[in-house]
Amino acid sequence: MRLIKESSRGSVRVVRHKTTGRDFILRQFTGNPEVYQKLLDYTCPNLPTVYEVACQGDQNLVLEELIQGDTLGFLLQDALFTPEETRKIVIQVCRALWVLHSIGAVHRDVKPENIILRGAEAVLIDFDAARLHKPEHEMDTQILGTTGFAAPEQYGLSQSDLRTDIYSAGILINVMLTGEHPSKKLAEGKMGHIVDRCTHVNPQRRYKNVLRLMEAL
Amino acid sequence: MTGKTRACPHCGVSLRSDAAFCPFCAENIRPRQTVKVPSHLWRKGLRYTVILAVLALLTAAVYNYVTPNVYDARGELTYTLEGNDYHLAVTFRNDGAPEAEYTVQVEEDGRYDRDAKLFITHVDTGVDAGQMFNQQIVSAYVQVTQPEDSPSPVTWLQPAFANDPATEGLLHSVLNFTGESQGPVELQWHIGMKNGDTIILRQKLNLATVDSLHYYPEDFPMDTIEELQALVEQIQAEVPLPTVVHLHLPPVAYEGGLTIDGRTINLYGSLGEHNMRTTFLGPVVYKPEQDPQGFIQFIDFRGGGSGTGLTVEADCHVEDCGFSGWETGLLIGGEDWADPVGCLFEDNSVGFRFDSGGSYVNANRFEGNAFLDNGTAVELLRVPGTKTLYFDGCRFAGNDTDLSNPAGHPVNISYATFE
Repeated sequence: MRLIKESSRGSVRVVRHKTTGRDFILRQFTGNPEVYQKLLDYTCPNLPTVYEVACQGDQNLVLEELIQGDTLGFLLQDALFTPEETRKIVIQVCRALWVLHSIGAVHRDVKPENIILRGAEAVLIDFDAARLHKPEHEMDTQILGTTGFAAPEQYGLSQSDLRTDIYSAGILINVMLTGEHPSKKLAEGKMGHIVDRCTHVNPQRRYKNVLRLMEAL
Repeated sequence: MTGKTRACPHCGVSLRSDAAFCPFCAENIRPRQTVKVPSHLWRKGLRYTVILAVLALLTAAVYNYVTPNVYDARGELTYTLEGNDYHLAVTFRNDGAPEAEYTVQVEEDGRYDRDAKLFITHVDTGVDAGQMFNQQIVSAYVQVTQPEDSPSPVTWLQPAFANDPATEGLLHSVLNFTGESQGPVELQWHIGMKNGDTIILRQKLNLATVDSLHYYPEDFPMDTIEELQALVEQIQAEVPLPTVVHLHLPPVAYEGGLTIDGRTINLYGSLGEHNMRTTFLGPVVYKPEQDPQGFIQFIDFRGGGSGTGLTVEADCHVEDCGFSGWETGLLIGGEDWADPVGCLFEDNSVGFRFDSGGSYVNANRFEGNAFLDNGTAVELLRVPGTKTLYFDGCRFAGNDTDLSNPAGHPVNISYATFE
C-alpha cells in the first residue's frame, strides 16, 4: 500500500490486489458516503469507477479505480494550457459533472488537483466533499470545498447546487489559462466572458447547467 | 459472512448478495449504467442556424429594400409607397373599375378607337390619388404586343395626362384598330417610379369579329315611313345580335316618325337632288333595348313647332344631322349617353337637351355643332357622371339662351364661338 494523501478527515491509498496485481484506490474518510454509493451504479469515462463502498458508523471505506496520470494541479506547476486544450479538458469535466448532477449530486470541490489527465481523457476524482442536493435546504450545513474554487454559497450564503460546480469550473478555466484566480487576472477574450458568467456571485446569473457551459465552450 | 449470498460471475466464489466487487478476482460484479450526456452541439447548431436564418432574412429584407422591384399584374395591383397603399387599375371604362380583359365587337370593315386609362386611388380613403402618385412617377409608356403579321396592326398613342380624373384617371392612351386587326392584343403599361421600382399593368384586348348586314333602298322598300317602319320591325324580328345592321336611307322626306325599340340599327341618311337629304318630318324615337352603340348620321329632323325631333335612349353617336322646328330638337334621355357631333340645331324651342338619369358615360366631345336661332340652344338638365363636355368648334348664334346648365355640369366652351 502506498499513502497518497492523509488528513484529519481520512486518507487515500493505492492498494494492489495480490492475486491479480491490479492497483486500486482505497479511500478512507469520515462523513457522508452517499455520493459514492450512488456512483456504484454508474460508469463514465470521465469519472473513476467506484467498485465498493463499506460503512461503519461515520467511517467509510471506498474502493475505486486508480486513474493513471497527472493531475492538472501538477501540470499547472510548469505551464498553462492553451484555450483549445482548456476547452477540451473542461468539456470532459463537464461530462463528469453532468453524471453527478443527473444523480442529484454536487461535487463541490472541482479544482485542478481533482482532475487527472489519463492520456487525452480528463477524469474528475475525489467525491469526499460531494453531496446530494436537497432542494429543501436553504444553506449548506457544512462548509466543504477548496478556498478560491468554492462558490460563495458554499460559505453559507445559500445551499450549494449544481451551479456551485459551475462556479468552480469557471475558476478552473481561468486558472488553466492564466494560472490566477479571476479576481486577480481574468482570462482574455471569449474564455474570459465564460469565466465571468460561471463565477457570478448570484447563482441565478451563472450558466443554468453544465450543458449550457459546454455550449458556450 | 451472513445473510444472502451469490456467486461471483467471474470466479464463482460466494459473495454477499449486495456486493459490488469481488475481492478474490478483483472484478466488478455490479451492473452499471452509462449516463449519456446530451449533445450540447445541437443547441449550438440550432443557435447558429437561427442566427444564419435571421441574417439571411435581414439580408433579404435589406436587399429587397434597396433593390428596385418589378411589379407585374393584370388589370390592377396595390402598390405601397411611403406607408400609403395605392390602387392602380387599367381600364377602358369611365371609372376606376379594373378591366384585365376587354372585348370589342368589330365589323370586318369597321374602324375603331378606344381609350385605355390608368386610374390611381388611395386605398384607405378611396379617393383619386393620381396627382399625388404622379409626383413619384418618372416615366410612363404603353407597349402593345400583337401578332406580327396582323394585316391592320393596332396603333396607339403614348399615355397623356387626362383632363378628368373621375372618368379618365391619371393617364390615358388612345388605341386605333380596324376589323382586320388581329389578336391576341395585350397592352402593357410600364410605370417607372422614382425609387427605381417598375410597375407593369397588363390589359388584354379581345377583338371579336361580328357579321354585318347592309340594307339599301335598291334592295328593300323604304321610300315611305310605313315601309321603313315595317322594314325596321322585320329586321328587329329576324336579325339577332351581335350581327350589326346598317340601314342606308334614301333621300326622301318621311311623312311621319319612326320608332326603333328592339335592337340597334344604324341609320345613315343620303343626299339626293336639289341637296335634299333624308328627312324625318315626324318624331323619331331611338331606344333599342340592347347594345351595341348605334349610329345616326346625315339625317334631317324637321318639325312643325312641337314634339321632339329625335329622342335617343341608347348609347348612340349622332353625327351631321339637322334638327329644326321642334319643341326639342334632340333629346338624350332614359339612362343613356349620346354625343352629337357636327349637327345643326335651328329654330327649336330647345335645340339639344341632355336629360339622362343613368350613370353611363361615353364620348364627351360635342364638337362642330351649330346652334342657330333656338330658344335655348343647349339645355343640360341631367348629365351622367362628371365628365366635362367639350363644345369645341361649336357655333352659337341668335339663340335666346345659349347654354342652360342648372345642374352645373362641367362644360368647356372655350373653343366655341358665340355671335
